[in-house]
Amino acid sequence: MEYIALAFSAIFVSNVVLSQFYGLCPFLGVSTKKSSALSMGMAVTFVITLSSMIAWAIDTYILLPNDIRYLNTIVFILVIAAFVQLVEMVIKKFSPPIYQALGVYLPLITTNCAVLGVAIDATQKYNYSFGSTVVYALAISLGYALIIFLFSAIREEMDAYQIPENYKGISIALISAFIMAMAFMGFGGMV
Amino acid sequence: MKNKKSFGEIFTTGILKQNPTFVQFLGMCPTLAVTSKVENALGMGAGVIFVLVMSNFIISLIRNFVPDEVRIPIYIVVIASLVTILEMSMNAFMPDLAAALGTFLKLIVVNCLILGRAEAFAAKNSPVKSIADGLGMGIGFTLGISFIAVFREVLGSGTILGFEVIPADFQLSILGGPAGAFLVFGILVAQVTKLRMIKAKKAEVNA
Repeated sequence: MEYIALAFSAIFVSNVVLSQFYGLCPFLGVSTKKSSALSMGMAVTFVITLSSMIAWAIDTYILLPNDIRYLNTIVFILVIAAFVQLVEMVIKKFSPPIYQALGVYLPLITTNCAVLGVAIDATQKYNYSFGSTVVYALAISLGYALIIFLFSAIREEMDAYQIPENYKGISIALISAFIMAMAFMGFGGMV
Repeated sequence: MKNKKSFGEIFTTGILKQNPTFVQFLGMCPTLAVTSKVENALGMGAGVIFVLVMSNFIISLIRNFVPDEVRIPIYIVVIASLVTILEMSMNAFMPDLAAALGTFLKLIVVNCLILGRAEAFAAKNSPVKSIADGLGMGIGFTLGISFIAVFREVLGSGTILGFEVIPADFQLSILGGPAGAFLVFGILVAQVTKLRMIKAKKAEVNA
């Protein structure tokens, strides 16, 4: 039950994009087509969940016992960069079709602040146990995938309408995100 | 590619013509996350200026020794070390600001503005020019996010740098909250784009 509440609040109530502002560059950059948004969402889910588990292990078994948690920014970003590289190589070797779909998005994920943000929040800010870290990371990334997919569907529809010249592109995208964020604020009453 | 622009030109490019916030849309996460208060925006801006100037300088110094294949990890280590220094000093001297910025202080590491300038400018130019570029881009970023923060703080919580200007009954608290960040930034972007379009048209008529 505790895990369900945690997951629900990470997906809907404090959605990673709409209320925590993690990972906005890919949210705005890779959301013009539904297919690419879906691939990005899958790649992000995979990387966030696994890298948070690795970050939790490093934090608990290496950084904390040696009292060097202040190094967590450097250690986590290196782990994430190395992990993303590894994932790219493994996927390229074993599953060319998946690589075709996700390949271009993987290098972008290193600088997606959701990955580092979730790793730091789960370990340092909330001090989650391993189980909670996994549930939290999975829920956050599913929330990310859900939002980026919904948003790309809205943006595809938007192409059919006339938008004032100066509002085209980023501007109208931000205003649509505002309306989505207001809708998601409604979930706040449920937890 | 050699950059022949003067220092003044390099410096002002980042502030106006290629403003990171309103023209290049770099570093969007802190742009939206820390702009509910002008104070936080200025603090975040100062942090980014520090990291950006130092990382541009260091990366420009080592640019001829770094092998091309591993340059990105090396840049990231340089930037992450600078962010750790910044974070430790901020925790020691300005704990309130450090608490207000929260995780976003650490997330300066993945601010695409910093890695972007390292790759696009510092890796190809002299240390002094890289400092000018870092300063210009950093100040441009600070001005950009502070501009958004002024609107959000005045309209959302009725204060400016903590002084009350609008009484509590007339505040639009949604603009200070997470959702309002998208709206305020979206509308401001459209106005800036409009100004740039008018300017471009004028330049066309004059030409």
